[in-house]
Amino acid sequence: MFEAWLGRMGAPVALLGVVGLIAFFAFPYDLGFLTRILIMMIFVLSIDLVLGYGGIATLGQAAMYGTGAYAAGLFAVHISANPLLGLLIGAGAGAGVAFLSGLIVLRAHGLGLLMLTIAVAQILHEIANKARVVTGGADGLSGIRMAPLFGRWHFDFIGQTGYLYALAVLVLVMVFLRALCVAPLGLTARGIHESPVRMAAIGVPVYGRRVLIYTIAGGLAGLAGALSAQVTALVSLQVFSFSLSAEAVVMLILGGTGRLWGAIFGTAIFMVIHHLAATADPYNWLFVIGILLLGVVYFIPGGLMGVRQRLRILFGGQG
Amino acid sequence: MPVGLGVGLQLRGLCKSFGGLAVAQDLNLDLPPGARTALIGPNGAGKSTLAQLITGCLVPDQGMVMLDGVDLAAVSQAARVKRGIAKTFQITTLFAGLSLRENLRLAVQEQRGQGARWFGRADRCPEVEEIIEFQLARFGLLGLADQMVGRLAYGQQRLVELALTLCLQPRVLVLDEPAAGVPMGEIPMIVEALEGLPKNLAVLLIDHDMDLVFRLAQHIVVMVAGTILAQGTPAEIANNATVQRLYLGEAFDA
Repeated sequence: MFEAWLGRMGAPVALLGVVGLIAFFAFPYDLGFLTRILIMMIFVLSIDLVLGYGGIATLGQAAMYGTGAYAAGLFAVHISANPLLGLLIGAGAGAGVAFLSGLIVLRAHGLGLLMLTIAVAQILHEIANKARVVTGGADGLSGIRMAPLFGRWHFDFIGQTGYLYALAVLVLVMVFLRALCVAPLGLTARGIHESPVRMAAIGVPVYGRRVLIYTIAGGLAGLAGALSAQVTALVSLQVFSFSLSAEAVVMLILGGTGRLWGAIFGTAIFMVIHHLAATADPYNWLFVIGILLLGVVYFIPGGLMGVRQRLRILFGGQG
Repeated sequence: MPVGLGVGLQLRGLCKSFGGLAVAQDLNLDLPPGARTALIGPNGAGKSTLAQLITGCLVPDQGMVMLDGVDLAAVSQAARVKRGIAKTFQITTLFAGLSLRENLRLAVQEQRGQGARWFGRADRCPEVEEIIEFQLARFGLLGLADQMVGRLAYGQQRLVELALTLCLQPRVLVLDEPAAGVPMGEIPMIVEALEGLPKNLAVLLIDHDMDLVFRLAQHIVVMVAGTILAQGTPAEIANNATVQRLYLGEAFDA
C-alpha cells in the first residue's frame, strides 16, 4: 500500500529533489539564480492550479505573490525573524488577499475576469508605492535579517541555505499539489474547467468552489513571495508587477497548462534560456523567448509536457 | 414527519414574464413519485422555461414550486439537486475531456458532499465507486468506463447524460429532449434506457418526438403560449380536438 503510494506519488517528486541536489553541487556559483528558479516554480505552480486546473483566466497572480512577500518581509523586520513562521504569514496573507479579491473578481468571466485580476495587482502595487512609511515605497523594503533555519543553518552569502530551503519548500508544495489533484477537489476543479454549467446542474456551488481554489492557489503564491523576500532579504515594488504575472503565465504555457510538471519544466526552460540569451545578447534576448513560445503554441499546443502524449498518439498507443 | 412527504413535486400558480412576454401563466402541475408525464407543445410554448423554473435556474414572478409540501423558493439550483431535483440537458453538456467514470464520479462525490475535500483520493472511495459501477451497468456502459467521454458516439453520450443525472439519485427527473440529435439507429437504445428508469422516480419528459412521448408517458400535458392547454392520458390527448388542431396536426390522424 505504502509502496504503491510511493511509486505513484513519491518517486517523481523524489526525483525532483534529487535533480535539485545535483544542481546544488554542479553549479555552486549560480545558487542565487537557481534559487530564483525554484521560487518561480512555486509561483508558476500556483498559476497552474488557478488557470490550468480551475480554468480561471488570470494575469494578476502577482497580487498574491507580492502580498506574501511584503507580509513576510514586514513580519521579519518588525515581529519575528523566524523563517518558517514568516512563510506561514506569507502564505496566509496571499490566501487572504486571494479570498477577498476572489469574492469580487470571480463574479466575472472571460475577458472581464482577466482585467479584474490585473486591476487587483495594480491597486496593490499602488498601495505599496504610496505607503512609503511601511513598505519603503519605490526604494523597496530592506532590513530583512532572517534568523537561522531551525536555529541552526544561517542564511549565507553564497546562498546554500537559501537554495536548499527553497528546494525543500518546492518539494513539499509539489507533494501537496499532487495529492490535491487526485483528491475530490482536484476532480471538481477539472470539472469546472470543462463545463461550469454542467457542474451547477449536478449540484456544485461553482462560484464558492472557484473562490476556494483561487484561495488555495493564492496561499501558494504568497508562499513563493515570502520565500523570495526571505532569501533575497529585499522586497521591491516589482513583486506586484504585471510583467511578473505575465511572464509566469508564459512559462506555464511553455511547459503545458493543467500539468504540474508543465509548470516545473516551463519555468526551468524559460528561466535558463532567459539567463543564457540575456548573457549572450542583453538587448535581444526576448526575441529567443518569443520564437520559442510561437513554436510551442503552433506545433505543440499542449506545451512541452504535451510532447510525450503527442508521440504516444503518433505511435498508435492510447493518448 | 412533514405533512406532504411522498407527494412529490407540485407546481402551484407559477407565473414568469420576460418584459411584456408571459412565458408561464398560472401553471399548476403534480408529479407524484413514479409519474411518467410528458410535456409537449410548439416551440416557444414555455416548456424549457417551466423546466428551468423547476430546477431553480429561473425564479418565478409568482407561485410555488414544492417538493413534498416544502416550498423551494429560497432553495438554490445547486441545493435543489441535493434535494432530488435533476435535469438532463437538451444539448449534451458533459465533461468531454474526462473519462466516463470521472464524469459520474463528479456527480456522486458532490451528491455525497465530498466535492470540496482536499485529502484522500477521489477514486478510492468504495461507496462512490459502487454507485458508479451500478449506474454504468444499468446503461450497459461498463465496457466504456475508461474512455474519454468526448470520443464516444453521440447516442452513447446521451446514455452518459442519463447515467450522470441518475448518479445524483434524483426523485424528480426532468428529461429535456433525451433523444434529440441521436441517429435513428441508436434511438431504440435510448428508449430502452428510458423505459428502465427506476419505477419510483417522478419523470417529466419534454419532447417533440411523439413516438417517444406516446411510448413512455402515462400522462400528457400540452402547453401553448405559456399556459396549459390540456392534460390527460395519452388516449385523451390524442382524441382532443383542440390539441389536434393546434399542435398534433394531420400527421397524427394518419
